[in-house]
Amino acid sequence: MISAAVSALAQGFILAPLALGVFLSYRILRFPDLTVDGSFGTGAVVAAALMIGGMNPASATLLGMIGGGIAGLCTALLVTRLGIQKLLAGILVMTALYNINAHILGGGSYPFIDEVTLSTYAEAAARALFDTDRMLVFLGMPFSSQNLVWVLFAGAVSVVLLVLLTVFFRTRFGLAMRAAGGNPSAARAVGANVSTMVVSTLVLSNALAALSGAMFAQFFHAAAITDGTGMLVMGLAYVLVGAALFGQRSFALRLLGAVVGTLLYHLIIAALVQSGEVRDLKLVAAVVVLLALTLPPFVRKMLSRRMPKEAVR
Amino acid sequence: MTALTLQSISKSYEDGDGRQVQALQHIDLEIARGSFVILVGSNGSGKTTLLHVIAGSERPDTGRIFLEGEDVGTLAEHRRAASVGRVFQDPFRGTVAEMTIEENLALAACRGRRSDLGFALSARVRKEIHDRLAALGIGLEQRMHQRVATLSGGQRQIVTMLMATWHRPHLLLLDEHTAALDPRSAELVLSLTGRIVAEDGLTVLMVTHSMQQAVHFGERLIMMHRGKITLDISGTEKLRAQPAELESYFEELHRAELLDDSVAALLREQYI
Repeated sequence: MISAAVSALAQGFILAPLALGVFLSYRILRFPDLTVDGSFGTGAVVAAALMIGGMNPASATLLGMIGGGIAGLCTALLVTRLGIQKLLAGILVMTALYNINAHILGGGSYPFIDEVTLSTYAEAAARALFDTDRMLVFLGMPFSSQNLVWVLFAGAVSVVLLVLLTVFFRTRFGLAMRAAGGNPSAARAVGANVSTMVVSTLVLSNALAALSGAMFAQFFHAAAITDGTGMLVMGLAYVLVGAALFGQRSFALRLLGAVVGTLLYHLIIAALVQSGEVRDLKLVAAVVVLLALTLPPFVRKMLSRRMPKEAVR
Repeated sequence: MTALTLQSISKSYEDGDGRQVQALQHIDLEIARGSFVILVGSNGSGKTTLLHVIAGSERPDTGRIFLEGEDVGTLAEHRRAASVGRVFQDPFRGTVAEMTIEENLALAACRGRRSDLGFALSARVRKEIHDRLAALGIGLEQRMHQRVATLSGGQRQIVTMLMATWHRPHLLLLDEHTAALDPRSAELVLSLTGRIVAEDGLTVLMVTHSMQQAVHFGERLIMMHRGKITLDISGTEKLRAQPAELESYFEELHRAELLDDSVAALLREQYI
């Protein structure tokens, strides 16, 4: 029971950057950016390839993030320079990335065995903190000390990201970014360069997705080019759960909602998996998104005060 | 000194049936600094296209545009926004609905500055926003933290007006900014418009459909028809103009247009 909860929290925090990334594209630019299905994998395979080459996992993860950011840049340039529809641009880059990711990894998947990864660090940290890299016991229930370290580490990453993003969106640049997504004509009329803002949002969004991808691969001791498949829908599910919690509050709370939504989502799924009721996680995510977008009118009315219009449309 | 100079501006585009429409035909126009100019014309006369061209959201096919003597023809819309303020007809177009009133105004306060990493809502900016809202006297300063989505159309237009004039633009473009409002809101927006324009001594180009407004506002009146300026009166001539007189001139133009169109249609039927 506790073991499942700790594991769910670890995964939730690992995927929280993805949720923040999807929040940026979906809630600010108002379109579901499929690039994340590719850039999540890019983060995983770039980090993996670098760690296989002997780079330390922290630098490899950061460079994985940059790889994801470049993927976002490609989508953004297709939109702003070539005038391709946002949705189509995302699909094109995602499709291209499938092969590119395979080339970077040199195959379809790669298990980390001898490589030093964040998990190696987690093992060492667990030994240092809890005197064991195997099981801890709480209330008579065992759980993995390494997973607890992951919760602490990824949780700290999430907190840092939340603080940075909250501050960032209060700056002149951040405000212009929100305006450019919310109402491009108004943003232009007050002198914001909308193209620059679209590019920045997509770069940031996909870099965050790639960070999740890189951590995800290291948590599961393997990188695979299929890691990113369905991640946009997962991210949308997190964001919509978060919107149900913190709908029309301040921007900072809505950002927080994306992270809390991710944790809640994983805890609920873990509980359902424990009771043996849920196995098809991506199917579940798709259904959650579908339900969130097509809630019956009376539920919508009930929630209308808390949910932003875009979320229930 | 002229605030705006247009030299031989032409613009054509394809309509839905693939026919070339001349929206603007060699428009020459000078607007003196500090003047309030009214622009009237029927739908499709080219007045909205003219505003787009001045603001930079559309490029003219030919011609040059000067603002305060500076050639701005190649400047992108967001760059030109540093010196051109604009209020649209659609109250939803000028503000960002899901941002708060103060965030929208902070955005306007950034106009002409680089979008850098300084805090947008510094204490100084927030105080200025509060004071300027309070000066309007309609209680918006108490709702600074509310989202613009909670405002009425008229209130939105007032916020947009404040955004457009925050840094005293060289030219303020008003594109039928009261046409979508109920009469009472329209009146309020107009009176605040007059006040802001007078206080800041702004140069204004205002498009309107209302002959009443055309007569009562401004000291110069321009009428457009089929991409050309057909009437340009100012001074005493403008003062003497009556709404009914303008309407009848307007209708004359229209009748001529109908005539043109019916002849053209006949010709098409006969020969094509």
